Amino acid sequence: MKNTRSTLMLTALLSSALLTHSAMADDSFDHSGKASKHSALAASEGLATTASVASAVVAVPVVLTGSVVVAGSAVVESTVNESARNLHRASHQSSAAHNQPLVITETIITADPAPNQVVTTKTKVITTTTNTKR
Amino acid sequence: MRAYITSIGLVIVLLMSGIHDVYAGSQQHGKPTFTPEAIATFSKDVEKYAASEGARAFIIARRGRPIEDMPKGIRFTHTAVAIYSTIQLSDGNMVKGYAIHNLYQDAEEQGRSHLITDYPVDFFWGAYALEAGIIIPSVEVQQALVNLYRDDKAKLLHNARYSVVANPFNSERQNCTEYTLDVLNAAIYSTTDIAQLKVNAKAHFSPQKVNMSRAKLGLASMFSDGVTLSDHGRKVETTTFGSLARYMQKYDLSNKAVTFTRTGQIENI
Repeated sequence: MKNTRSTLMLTALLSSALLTHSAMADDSFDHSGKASKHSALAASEGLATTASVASAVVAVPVVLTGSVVVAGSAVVESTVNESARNLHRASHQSSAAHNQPLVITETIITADPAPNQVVTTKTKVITTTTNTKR
Repeated sequence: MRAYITSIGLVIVLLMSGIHDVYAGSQQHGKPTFTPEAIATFSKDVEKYAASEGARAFIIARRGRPIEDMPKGIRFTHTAVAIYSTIQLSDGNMVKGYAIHNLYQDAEEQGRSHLITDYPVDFFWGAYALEAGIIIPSVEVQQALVNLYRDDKAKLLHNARYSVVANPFNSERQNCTEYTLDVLNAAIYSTTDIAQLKVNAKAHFSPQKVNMSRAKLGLASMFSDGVTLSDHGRKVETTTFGSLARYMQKYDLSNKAVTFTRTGQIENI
């Protein structure tokens, strides 16, 4: 009888620990690398007709300087090259007072999948193509 | 004897299901709960709301689990910083929108994390509920946050050793919300000196008590590298979106703290 009670208590403790783990498991996982997301969004028929889907190459903070907004020069320098320099030029705005509404694109922007997923996908495509030719 | 065998069987089944939960985490979260259209529309609505408030930087949170599964006092499971940015698209076009700067737990090695920039639709892709937590800082704090990202200094605050219940008062472990707190304080105090930031946090920030017994948390840590109590003393407290909101409200660091739902309902926190 004593053994049975101890076993049941142990069972209850382990069960609650497992459920605890499940509850405490953070969902801080990255969803941006899902290759299927791009195609799922692109194929969506319910999106507004004005909406399009695009991958982002680079993002540069729009920096407030007084009431004037300019692109962040330090990031431009660190994030590489020509595309960032173009971005810098495109980011200049003549005036944007604090707390004024900001412009937001209608484009649905996504991050690209992780490099290893892109390489895997391309490898699969090449393999499939090769097989087809045979 | 029969009860003994039944109990052992139950433990094994639970162990197996628990372990499955641990390893299935990334796959489960990778599958969207809502249609792509619903996620895209909601994400854009969140962006437009923040933009309508003139937010150049704000704190954003999502809920990845049913509220009833969460410890008492915790509503959101992931928090990050959104920065109004000029975004170059793959077709060469430049557009304006929010880039979200995240600390994400590694799906395979759960005791590790990475810094990843994504966009609202990525952020909400695997959310359990189309509900966002939004804290819009004061203009001064927004400007300090934007400058921190402009100078590419936020990455200096990253600690890759991850724990879901990381103690915000030391640098042993870090979760997404503690990273957000560190970024926020680095912007406010104009320093990336981690030791100084931890002293400041200890002096002024009140974390969320984790309402679970230490025994349960200790057992949970046996099943995942992403949960540890090694960085805690007697009390287990961690950074949450709610505790960040309270901190910012207490010291007049925020203009707004709200929850934003799929139906466009906005509630003050």
